[in-house]
Amino acid sequence: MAAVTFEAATRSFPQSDRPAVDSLDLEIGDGEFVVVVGPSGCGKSTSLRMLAGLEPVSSGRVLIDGVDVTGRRARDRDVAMVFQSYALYPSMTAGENMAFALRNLGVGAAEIRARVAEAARILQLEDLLDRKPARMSGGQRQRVAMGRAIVRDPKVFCMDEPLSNLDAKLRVSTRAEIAALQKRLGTTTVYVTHDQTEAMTMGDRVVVLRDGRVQQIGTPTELYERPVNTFVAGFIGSPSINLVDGVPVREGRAVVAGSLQVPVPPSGAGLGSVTVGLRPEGVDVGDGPTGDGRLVARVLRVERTGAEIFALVQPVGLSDGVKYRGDHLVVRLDKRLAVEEGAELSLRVHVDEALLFDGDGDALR
Amino acid sequence: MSAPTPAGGTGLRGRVGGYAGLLLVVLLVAIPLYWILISSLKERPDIYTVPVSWFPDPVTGANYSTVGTGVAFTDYLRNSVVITATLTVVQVALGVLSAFALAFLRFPGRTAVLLFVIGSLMVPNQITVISNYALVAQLGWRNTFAGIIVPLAGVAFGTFLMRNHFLSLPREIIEAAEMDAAGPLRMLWRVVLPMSWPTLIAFTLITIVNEWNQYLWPLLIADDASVAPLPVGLAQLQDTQGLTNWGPVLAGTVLTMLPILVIFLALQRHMIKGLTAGAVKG
Repeated sequence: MAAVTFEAATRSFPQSDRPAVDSLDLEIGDGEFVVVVGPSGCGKSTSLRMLAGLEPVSSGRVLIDGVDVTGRRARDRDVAMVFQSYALYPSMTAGENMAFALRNLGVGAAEIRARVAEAARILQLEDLLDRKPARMSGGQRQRVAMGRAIVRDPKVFCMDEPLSNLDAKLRVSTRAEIAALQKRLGTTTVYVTHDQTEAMTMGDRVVVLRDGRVQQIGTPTELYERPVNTFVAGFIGSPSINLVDGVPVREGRAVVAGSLQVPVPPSGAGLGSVTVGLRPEGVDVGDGPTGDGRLVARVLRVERTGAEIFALVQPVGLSDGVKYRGDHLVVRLDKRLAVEEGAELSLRVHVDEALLFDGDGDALR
Repeated sequence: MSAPTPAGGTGLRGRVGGYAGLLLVVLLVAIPLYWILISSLKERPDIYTVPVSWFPDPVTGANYSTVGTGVAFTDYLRNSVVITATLTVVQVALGVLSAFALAFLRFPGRTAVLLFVIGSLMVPNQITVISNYALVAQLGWRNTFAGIIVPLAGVAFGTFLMRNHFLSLPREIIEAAEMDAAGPLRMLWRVVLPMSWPTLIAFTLITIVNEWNQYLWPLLIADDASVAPLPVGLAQLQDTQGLTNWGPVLAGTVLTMLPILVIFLALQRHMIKGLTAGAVKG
């Protein structure tokens, strides 16, 4: 177990004009589970590989437990990695795969047997120890890859999209298992994914990256409720937040429509227009108590997931110059509600949950 | 336009044409081999009869006994085994180790070394024969195994072949071994080679066949049956009495081919794909 620190860690490639990872500053506490998330090409895997020692650091430093490991080889960092492809040794059985690192490190045979058996017990791999990877299912291989990491009892786990090759159902159950295992072992873990649901459900803290730069670091709730910019607001949450641009500011209020006005905080004073973010669930149907914002919208399409309804709607009566991103807004509705396509809905908007951003997309607080 | 189907006219014609082409190639290779085999079993006058007879009648083993008595066949065979075995071990070991270094180890001048290896592939052996001969003679290695083996022990093709194969292995497995603290030799032996047997066996087979058939260099260096390999010995069979007695020559050729054939049949079933199955997904 150990703390991990990135100090302005940068990785540039000669063939690219901007760094893959651009001065990454990140402090990860001992035993913390940090998820690094972002769209493909944002530098999340490169950051992880810099920590693991598989990618050189162009400038800046990486520290494990306060010790600068920037120039150290992967094998000398005491870091274990779970690869996206699992990368099991095809000629070795599951047991040999798990024991390989311990053998290389000169651990005694009895100790190896005990540690492999313990890992197999935790991961329910006892019956598979003599089986080779070719004769295992994807989920079993994934568990062997996890086993290979945990038998070493390393200072840090690095996980590079370890669930992306599993089917949807297995992914959900394995997600919970990994999170529970990490809590139990208490090993500092850096977990890379492009799946915001994994980020929200697994991590103690989440790091959102874009184009090699950190956008925001925070708990899942912070990221969801107080995103620092429109990118984070749009990336976290499914379905995505509704962003409405060009909303005019009049007398300290952003006027989305005559009946929907959001108070602008002092930091936004003086702005002519703002972007308003409305989460799909921040809206109810019907006429409620006065004081909430109201919006009338026409239903374009209805998506029923079983537990809830997502209505794709087109608002009417917006202020001049107001545009919403995409060709509709998404609102989440109660599954008991009878909603029909083409109908007009009277929406009650929780104004206190609306998010405001300036022209550059930065949040107004 | 309809796509040709296996049962349709175009498909059938295409397939017949394909098989006819395959048959032609098989015949081109097989007929000379068959000719060697039957002629080695014919009596001397029958070899020269026109029109040719496609079956030996009567069948005789006399040519084979002549091979045994005409030249020191067992000596040549022993020499061939010594030379081929030594060269194969040395070349495969050098090829694998150098390919591993060029594929996985980072060191300054790596590209230059690779270019040098590829460059040496482009120099025909005949060009180096004279200078090699001068050197070997100077060292006093004429008519010795060292004189035959050492100049032939260089390996460029194998390095190139194995390096390209190593680079085609899933990179994440190599990285996993690196993180699992495997040193270079252990990584080679436990991780890389188990995924490389088909290519390695192909490389070994090519080397064995190549070295077994070495003719020019041993002919220049060897003076007698103490170190000369089979191809050189066979050539001596050819003109013992001023004119070629084809029966024993062809019998010797069959005997020379046999060991290689056996090795090929034994090894070829290992040249199968799929050794990385289950290692990585996708």
